[in-house]
Amino acid sequence: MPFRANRLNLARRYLWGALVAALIPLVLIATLYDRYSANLVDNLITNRVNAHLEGAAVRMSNFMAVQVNKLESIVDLPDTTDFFLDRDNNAISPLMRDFLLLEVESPDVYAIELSRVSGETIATVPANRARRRPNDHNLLPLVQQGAVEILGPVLPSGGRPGWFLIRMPVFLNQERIGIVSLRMRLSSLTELAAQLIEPGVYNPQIVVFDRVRLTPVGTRAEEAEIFARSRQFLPGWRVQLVDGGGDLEEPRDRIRYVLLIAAVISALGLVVLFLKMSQRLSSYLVPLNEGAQAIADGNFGMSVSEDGPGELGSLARSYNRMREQLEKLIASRVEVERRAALGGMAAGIAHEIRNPLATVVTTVHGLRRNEKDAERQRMFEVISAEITRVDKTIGEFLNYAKPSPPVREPVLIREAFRTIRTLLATTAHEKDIVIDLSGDSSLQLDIDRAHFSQILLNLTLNGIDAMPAGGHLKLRAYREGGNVVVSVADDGAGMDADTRDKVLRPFFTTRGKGSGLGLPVTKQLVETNGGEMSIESEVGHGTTVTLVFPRKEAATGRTA
Amino acid sequence: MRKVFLILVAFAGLVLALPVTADDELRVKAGCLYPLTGPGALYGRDSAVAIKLAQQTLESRKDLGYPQIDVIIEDSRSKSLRSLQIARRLVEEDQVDFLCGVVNSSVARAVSGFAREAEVFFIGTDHASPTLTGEDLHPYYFRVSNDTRQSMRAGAKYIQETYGGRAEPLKIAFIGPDYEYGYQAWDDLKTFLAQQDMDFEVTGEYWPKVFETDFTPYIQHLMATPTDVVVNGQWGLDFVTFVKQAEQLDLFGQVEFMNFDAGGNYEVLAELENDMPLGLVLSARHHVNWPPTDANRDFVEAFRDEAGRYPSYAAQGAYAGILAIAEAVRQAGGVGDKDRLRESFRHLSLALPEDPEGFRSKMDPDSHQMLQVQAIGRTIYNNSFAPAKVMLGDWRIYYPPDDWPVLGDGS
Repeated sequence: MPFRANRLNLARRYLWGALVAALIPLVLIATLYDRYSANLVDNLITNRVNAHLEGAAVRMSNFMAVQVNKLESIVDLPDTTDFFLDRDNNAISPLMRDFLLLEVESPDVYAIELSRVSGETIATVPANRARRRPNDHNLLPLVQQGAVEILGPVLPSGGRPGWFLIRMPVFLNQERIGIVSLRMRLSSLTELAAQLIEPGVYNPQIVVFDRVRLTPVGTRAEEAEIFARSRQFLPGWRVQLVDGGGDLEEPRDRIRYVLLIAAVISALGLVVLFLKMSQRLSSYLVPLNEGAQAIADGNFGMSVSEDGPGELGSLARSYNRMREQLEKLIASRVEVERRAALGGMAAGIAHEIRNPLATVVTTVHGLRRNEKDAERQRMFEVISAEITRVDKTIGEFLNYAKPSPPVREPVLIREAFRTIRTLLATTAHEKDIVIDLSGDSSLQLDIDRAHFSQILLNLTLNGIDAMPAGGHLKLRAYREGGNVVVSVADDGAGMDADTRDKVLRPFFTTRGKGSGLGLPVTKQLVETNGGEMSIESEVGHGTTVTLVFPRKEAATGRTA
Repeated sequence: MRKVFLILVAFAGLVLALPVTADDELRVKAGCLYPLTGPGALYGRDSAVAIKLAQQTLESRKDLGYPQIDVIIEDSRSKSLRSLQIARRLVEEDQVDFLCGVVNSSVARAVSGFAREAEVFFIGTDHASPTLTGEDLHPYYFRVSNDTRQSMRAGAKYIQETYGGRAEPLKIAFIGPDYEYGYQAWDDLKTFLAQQDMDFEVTGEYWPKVFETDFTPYIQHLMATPTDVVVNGQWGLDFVTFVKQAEQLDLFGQVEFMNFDAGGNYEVLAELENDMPLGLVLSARHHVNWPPTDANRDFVEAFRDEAGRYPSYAAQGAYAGILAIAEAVRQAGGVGDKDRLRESFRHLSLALPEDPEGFRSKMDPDSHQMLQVQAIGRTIYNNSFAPAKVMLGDWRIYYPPDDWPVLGDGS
């Protein structure tokens, strides 16, 4: 029967159900994970970026505070006040010069400028770092924070770096008498934002009043899309993050695609797995189904493979056993019915044939006794012989149809064997057959003595018939697993399988004069006495008939 | 009582010392400032060894009328104010006849300013800003080592020779230390390139501070702008750090990288060993493997015998400084007549280890700058001067002009 892969059998239905049950949570979890992780990443990035931005703004505030402190120390020097009071000379005292020189040792400070209230620079320390006033001086951003003013930034130009001024007025009796400025290295401030650089993602910029944009290395920055901004660390000054030219979403999208592909691959894997499982399950269940249908159709010859896993293998084994038992049951039922029919028929034959035959025999006997003619006497003898033969056949038939119940007694096998050999000695000698007895001489059987003799006689005669050109006839008796085994073996013509199958049927014979009842009767006698008979035969090598009688505890305590 | 005793001992010492110096030979006193601790200390230590070698040389030339020079070496720590105070003390207390040395140009400007006020000759041996021989120039300042102007002149020629025939303007970015030395180097390079009709375009100017430790933002900016050539003006540890960081970020894979003044210094090559990339265009004021003359080999080996290592260019500068003082004093017949001494310096001509065959270092009488040959090479494998694994080779040689160029604002 072809494999019906397209039918939605029960196993497949269950598997598809399980597949759907597995896929729905997978899809749900993948969707939820994608949504929540995206939000989580957004929040994390935003929080982190804001924290870093604020960190940079704090660093810049601190940097400016340190510079303002430095400036205050200079402004508060009495020498500074003296310097501005001495309007004519404006000489810096050696002590003050050294102090100022010490302050400009810092790479963050280019120079310290001392100016009049009008803005005119009187002195620069170091003197050789005097500067030219930038062209756009009046346009420079100017912010006031507390007492200090921050002027700038002046962007790098003409092969010189950028700078900005932190300046503070010097007061005497609440009157401004001069201004001290620190000319600061612009990059020293902007470099504090360098930690924020994420190449290809975003870049930090320092913006002043949204019109001057600086890179972390103190150069002019291009306007770009702003991602985040810090608070103002000076009035108008803040740090912001701008688009760095890369795609911010790209890494996250890539992860999402990878997850999506992983989910789809998992789902496909599940489908393939379930399909395979379904096919495998069907490959075990379909033969079972077909076998059951075959039994229903009366075909007991269809066995099922028992290789299936777990319960399926067990089910297949049970099925095969059930099939065999059923076959035997039906066969034995047929046999019983056949016997019953034969029994009825035998009773009729006995009544309708044997009685007239008895009359015929008596009559023939009387006729022969009175007959003088030798020819006619021979004819009467033939009639008598034939009638005797018919009677014998009817006797055997009656035996088969209605066997006499066994009367069991302990029988020494050795004796039974010897009796048989004596009986057959002459015939065997004529046919050049050697009869060989072997086995455990002490073995006994609990059996009907006449039946056992009949059994052995039938089997040995069959054996002798199978060896027309002489041979060996072996009778053996031995113990096997507690059972007593008796075997009768010849090395005669043997039988083919077909003959062997039919040989136990009544009236089947290969001999011209055989009744076809010898072996069926023998088998019946064996079974009546509680034994089993089996026949092994091979053409050209002979036949062995084995009788197995189950062990029974004898009254003497010996096994039999 | 104790004070009186000390004065007496000092006087006795002076009396004992005088007959030897006054009678037999001319002795002069020089006070040199070099960083002996902190960044740049190797330059100072190399200079000290070279000064000793110079004294030995003078000792051997005593018979030729050369004076013996006593040298006091002080640790400047590359700080301006400290250097200024040391210079004052050397002049006022130690009564030195000459100030010498100084690695950092900012420090040198402070010391030079003081030398002018104190009317004491200051012989520069290692700093290289042209400002000192330009706007800061005064009658008491002379410099015996190449300055950045000579390096940049040679560098501009190198660039012109390499890229001169291009159809498009050459894109150049500059990164140099944020002080006079760096500014001047870049100004001069641009001027010399323009003088040679080199068609170029500046794609960036960056000024990290001296002794910076993280150049990453600068390197990232250099790499973000399309550039053909990056000219670097850093020196010493700054240059070493920059090269290491730039190599990690693969700057050298993107651009041609050049440093004409100090990048090829042996100190840098020894420090970087195998980390020094190949193919960089570098130079220095003196090379241990160029010129291939006996004088240079002898100097390098003598230094190695003395110090156990090969010399950085600072050594040759210091050696030249002492020899220059000796030569000028010999020609002037002493230190008494400062005008004669100045004239001797102005027309000084010396055979130095860094001079190739047939060339003598010569002082430019107007700028007080020694004119010397500049050799530019490329980094190649060379194990001959351990611990350096990479040295300069593939040389191109640039002789100085007859008249020292005056550029821009008169510097």
